[in-house]
Amino acid sequence: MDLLTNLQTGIDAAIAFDPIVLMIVGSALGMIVGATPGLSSGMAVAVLLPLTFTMTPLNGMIFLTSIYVSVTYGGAITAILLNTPGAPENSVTAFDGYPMTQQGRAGEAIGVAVMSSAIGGLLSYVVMLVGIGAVAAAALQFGPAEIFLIAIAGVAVLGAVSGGSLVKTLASGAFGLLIGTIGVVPTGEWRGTFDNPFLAEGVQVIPVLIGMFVVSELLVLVGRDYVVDARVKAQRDLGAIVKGFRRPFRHLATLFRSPFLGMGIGLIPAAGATLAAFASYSLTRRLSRKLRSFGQGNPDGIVACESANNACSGGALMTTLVLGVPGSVTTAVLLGALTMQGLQPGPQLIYEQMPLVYGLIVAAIVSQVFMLLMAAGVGYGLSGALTVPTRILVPCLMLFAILGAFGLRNSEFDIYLMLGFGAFGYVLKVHGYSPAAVVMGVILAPIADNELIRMFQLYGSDWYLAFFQRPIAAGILAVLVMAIAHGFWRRHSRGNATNPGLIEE
Amino acid sequence: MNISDYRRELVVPAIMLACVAAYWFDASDLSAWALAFPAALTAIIVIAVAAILFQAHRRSVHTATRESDDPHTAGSHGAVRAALVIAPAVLVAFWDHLGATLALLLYTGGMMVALKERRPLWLLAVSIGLSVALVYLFRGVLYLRLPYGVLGLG
Repeated sequence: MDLLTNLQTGIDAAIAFDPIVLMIVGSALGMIVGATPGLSSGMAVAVLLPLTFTMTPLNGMIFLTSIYVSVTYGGAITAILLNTPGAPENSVTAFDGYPMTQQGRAGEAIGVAVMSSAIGGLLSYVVMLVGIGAVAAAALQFGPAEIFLIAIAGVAVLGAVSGGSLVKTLASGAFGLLIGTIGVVPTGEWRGTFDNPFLAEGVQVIPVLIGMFVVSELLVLVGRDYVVDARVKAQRDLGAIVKGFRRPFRHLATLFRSPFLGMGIGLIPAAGATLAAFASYSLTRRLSRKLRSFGQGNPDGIVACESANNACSGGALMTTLVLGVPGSVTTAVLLGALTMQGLQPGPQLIYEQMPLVYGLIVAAIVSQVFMLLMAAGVGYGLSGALTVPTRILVPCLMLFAILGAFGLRNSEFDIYLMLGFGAFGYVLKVHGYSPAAVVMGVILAPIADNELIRMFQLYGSDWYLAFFQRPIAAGILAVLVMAIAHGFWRRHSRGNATNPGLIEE
Repeated sequence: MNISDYRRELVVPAIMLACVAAYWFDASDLSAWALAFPAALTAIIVIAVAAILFQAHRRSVHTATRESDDPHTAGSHGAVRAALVIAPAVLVAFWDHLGATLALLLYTGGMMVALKERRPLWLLAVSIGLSVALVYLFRGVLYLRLPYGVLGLG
C-alpha cells in the first residue's frame, strides 16, 4: 500500500509538462555527451548544473539525473562503432561490440546495448522505488560513527577500485578532505580561511566540481585537434537496431542477473559503473559455456556490461539520497546540486521530501523510454561521420564553466576558485593522481568532520571505542580495512601494473 | 625513469605539502576538536607523499630512461593551456570596465585563434554568437548579475 502511495506521489510530481520536457532535453544532451569520447558524465552534469539554479529542486534534479542516466547509453554507441568508449563505464562494451561492428552487425550490437541498458535502468529504479524507504529506515539507525566511516569509505573505496596508484588516489582523497575542512567549524572557529569571508561557508563544491571535471578535461583536450574524428564504416540500418532490441531476451539469465549486480555495486560509495560493468562481464564470462566467444562479438557480453552499468546509477543515486554520500563521481555532482538547492541529503530527506524523491525515481523510470527511442536514433545518426573540433568545443564549454561558477553567488572569487581547481586537476591527471578523489574528499569532509566532533561530544575521551562497540560501525570498519588491504594486495600481486579501464572519472 | 621524470613526480607532492603548510599556518591555534580531523588527514598526506617519493626513487634507480614528449609540441600546448586558465582570470578582473559580453567575446575569439581556428567567418560568428547568447541566457533567464561595463555595452 505504501508503495502505491509513494508511486502516486512520484507520478503526481514528475508527470507534468515541465519535467517531461526536461527529461527529453536532458536525455538528448546526455546522449550526445556520452557519444563523445573524452566528455564524461561528471563533466556533462557539472557544466550544465548552473542551468538548474532557477529551477525547482525537482525539475533541476530531473534534468541532471536524465543527463547522468543517458550518458551510458550514448557511450555504448561509440564503443561499438569506433572501439572508443564514450564514457569509462562503456569500456567493456567495446570488447564484444566492436567485433560485432567488424562482422557487419553494428546495428544489432547497438540494439542489444540500448535494450540492455533500458532493462538494467528500469529494474534498478523499480528496485529503488520499492526499497528506498526500507534503506532510509535502516539508515536512521546509523550514529555518528557509522556516518563518519561511510563518508571516509567514499574516498577509500575509490582508491581501492580505481586502476591507478592506490597511494596517489589516497593522497588525493586525503587532500580533498583537508580542503573540505576549510570554513567555520561546528565549534564556531574559522579554520584555514585566512579570514576570507567567501571561505566562511567552506570551499564551495560547485566551482570545485566545474574546475576538476570540466576545466581540467578541457586542458587535456587542448593537445588534440578533434575530440573525436572518425568516419564510421558501419552501414545505416535501423532494422538491425530494432532486431537487436529483441536479442537481449535470448540471454535472460544475464539480463536479470547483471542489473542486480550493478545495483549492488552502485550502492557502495564511490564504486561506480565502470567497476559494475567489469564485474558483470567477468562473472558472465565465467558462467558461460561459450567462454572463447567472449571478445569476439558475443552479444551476451554486451548485455552483461550494459545492463550492469546502467543499473549502477540507481544504486548510486540511492546511496547519495539516503546517506548523503555519493555513490559515484557523477552523483557527487548531483549531491552538490541538491545542497545548492538548500536540501540536506540523508534518511530524513526521504520522509520530508517525498514528492522530490519519488518524483525523481518515477522520472528516471520514464526517461528510460525516451532514451530507448533516442538512442536508436542517435545510433542511426552516428553511423556516418563524427567530428568534434576542439577549437570550437573548448571555448564554448569554458564560457559555460566561467558563467556557471560565477552564477553560484554572483562572485568573481568562485571563478578564480574554479580556475585554480581546474589547473590543479589537470596537474593531478597528468601525474596519475585522482581529481575524482579530491572532489569526493571536498564533498565528504564536512560530513566526516561534523560526525567526528559529534563523537567527541557523545563519547568524550573514549570516542574511538564507538567504532568497535557498535556492530554496524565495526562491520563498516572491517569492510573498509579489507577494501584498502585488497587494493594494496591486488596491485602488489600484479607487480604494480595499472588497469586504466577501472578508473571511474 | 630518468632524473627529469623523478622531478616531475615531485610536482604534486610539492603543491600538496605547500597547501598543507599554508593551512596549518592559518589554523594552528584552534581548539583540539577543530584540529583532530585535519591532523589525521595531514598525517595520511605526509605518509602517502613519502611513499610516492620512495616509489619514484626506486623506479628512478631501476628503470631505464624513457623517451620524453616532443618538447616543441609540449611547449606550444603548454602556452595554450596556460592561456586557457589565465586569460579568463585577467578578463574577469577587468570585466567591470569592459562588460561581461565584451570580455567573454574577447576570450572566446582569442582562445579560438590560439586553438588554430583560422576561418574569419567562423571566428566572428562563434565568438559573437556564443558570448551574446550565453550572457543573455545567464543574465535574462538565470538572473546573474553580470557587469555591463563603463560604456554600458553589456
